[in-house]
Amino acid sequence: MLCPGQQNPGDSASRGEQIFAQRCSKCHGEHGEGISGVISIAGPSLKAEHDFGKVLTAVEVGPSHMPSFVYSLSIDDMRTVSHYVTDKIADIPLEEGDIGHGGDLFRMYCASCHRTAVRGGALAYDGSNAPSLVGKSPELIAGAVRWGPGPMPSFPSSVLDDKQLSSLVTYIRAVQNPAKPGGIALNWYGPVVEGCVAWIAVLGLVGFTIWIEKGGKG
Amino acid sequence: MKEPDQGDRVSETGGVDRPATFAPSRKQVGKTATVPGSLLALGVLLWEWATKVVRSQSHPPRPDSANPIAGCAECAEKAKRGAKPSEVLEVEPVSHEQIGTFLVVCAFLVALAGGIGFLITYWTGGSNLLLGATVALFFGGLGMALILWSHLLTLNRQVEEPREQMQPPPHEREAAVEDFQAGANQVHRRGLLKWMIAGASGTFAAMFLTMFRSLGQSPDSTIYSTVWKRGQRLMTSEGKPVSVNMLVPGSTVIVFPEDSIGSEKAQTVLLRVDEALLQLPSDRTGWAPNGNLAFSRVCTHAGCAVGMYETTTHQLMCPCHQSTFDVLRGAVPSGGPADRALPQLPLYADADGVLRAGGGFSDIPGPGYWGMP
Repeated sequence: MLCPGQQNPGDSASRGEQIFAQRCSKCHGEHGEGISGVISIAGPSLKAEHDFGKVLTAVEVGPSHMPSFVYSLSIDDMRTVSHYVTDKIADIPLEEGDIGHGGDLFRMYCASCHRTAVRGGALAYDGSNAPSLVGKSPELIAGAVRWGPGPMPSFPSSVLDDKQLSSLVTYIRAVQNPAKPGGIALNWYGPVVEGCVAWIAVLGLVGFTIWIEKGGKG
Repeated sequence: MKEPDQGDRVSETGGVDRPATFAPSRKQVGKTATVPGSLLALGVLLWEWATKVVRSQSHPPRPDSANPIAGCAECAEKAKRGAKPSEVLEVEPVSHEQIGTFLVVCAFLVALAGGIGFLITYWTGGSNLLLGATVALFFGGLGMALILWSHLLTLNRQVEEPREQMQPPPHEREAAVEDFQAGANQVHRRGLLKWMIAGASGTFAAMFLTMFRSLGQSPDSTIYSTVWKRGQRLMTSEGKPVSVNMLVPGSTVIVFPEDSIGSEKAQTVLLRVDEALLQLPSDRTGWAPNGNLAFSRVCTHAGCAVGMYETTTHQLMCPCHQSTFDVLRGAVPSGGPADRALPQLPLYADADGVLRAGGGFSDIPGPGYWGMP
């Protein structure tokens, strides 16, 4: 028990399961599937968390609303539960997908709420909104697609298979921080907003020109 | 580099300089009928016209020698007799007139060629590049013609007439009549130009009207229905049939009729809710096997794709104008501008558990228009 390296894997897994049930499942769900409640007080799905380093860091640091476990778990326990997450819970394979197909899927199923530029938008009722996907990790996004946190519909593997999900995530990652050839992106609100800003700027210039023509007075 | 020459010539010939300056270019026009030749002549003429305008602004013509009508002996005489400048209005010399007319006609011909080229290109299904180029040629020629007309053939100077005695002397009245006749003759001579502008206007009207063809076929009665028929399997956009348990409650997928995958108007949102929550109208019992509901995905307000689904409140929502539809009660509008329910597609599961359409939509799918709210 003192050194996890000496335990057999089965013990380690059961110990990890035990810690997970005690410490993690209230927010992340019994099987790490996430809780489809209001996302701000519930944990996201862990079904795509394959990276041991990331999981261990999260357990130690406590990103966002998650508490840090450095004072309540030993280092060995933190490692054990992180291994449990990456080995036993994470079952969504994420690989490099087809970005074009992912874009098609995104526009079909996601863009209505999250906007084509993945910057999020308002929803219908109760003041909720679809969050921006900028800065969200691929694992978080993949888990959310499968389980549908909050008002979001879920997309089980019968609707989007693993390959399609990978393509979707690949597209989202590409759009999270695209190049800005025009300089100011205006939050990627699109051509209508850009045109409006251009009109206002041009009208301002016209007014300035008229003012100069009058001799700069009144 | 021609300017010093012409400046000299002005001083030699006094005010009557236009026939002298236009003579060479006229020869050139007559000599070369080829396109480069005409372009060269056009360039030379424009250059000479520009220099003339510059000169006339810096050295206004002296009153007693202001351009008489060439070939009009009386006018010349009258000018010698010392007529006031107002009487001898600037009627352009014939040579200038002819060259101007020639240029304007050329420009109109360019415009007509462009317009007719557009029509030919359009009706033979040519490329957009050609369409754009011919339209540009048409408007360019038309604009050039009108500019040349106004600059070369109409009086291009502000004319001031000092107040005179009420009854002018008889010779002035005669001169006025002659001037009027000369002007009338000039108008008469522009019959060709009138035909040209009429032709250009007619061509433009034909170009404008012919583009209505691109609005496409008349929709006829196809707007009242879709291709959904009883017995058709529901298919995803990838052509997978949808089984009754493919969705879990709270998930959604876009489906099409099995023989029209990708049809915009027949696109349908399939979603699954907990069966116990359903409050469908009584005449729709059995339309939602295992809580699978199918609605037209085309918003009844303006035809956007109703893409948003809030699983917590069971509302379908259109991202364009925020029309919301209550899924549990058969997608009746619960907010926003739409006032017609999303048409529902009756569903049934066959023996293999595959979802099939039980008929067409419950209502006319698609946005409202002048015949339908």
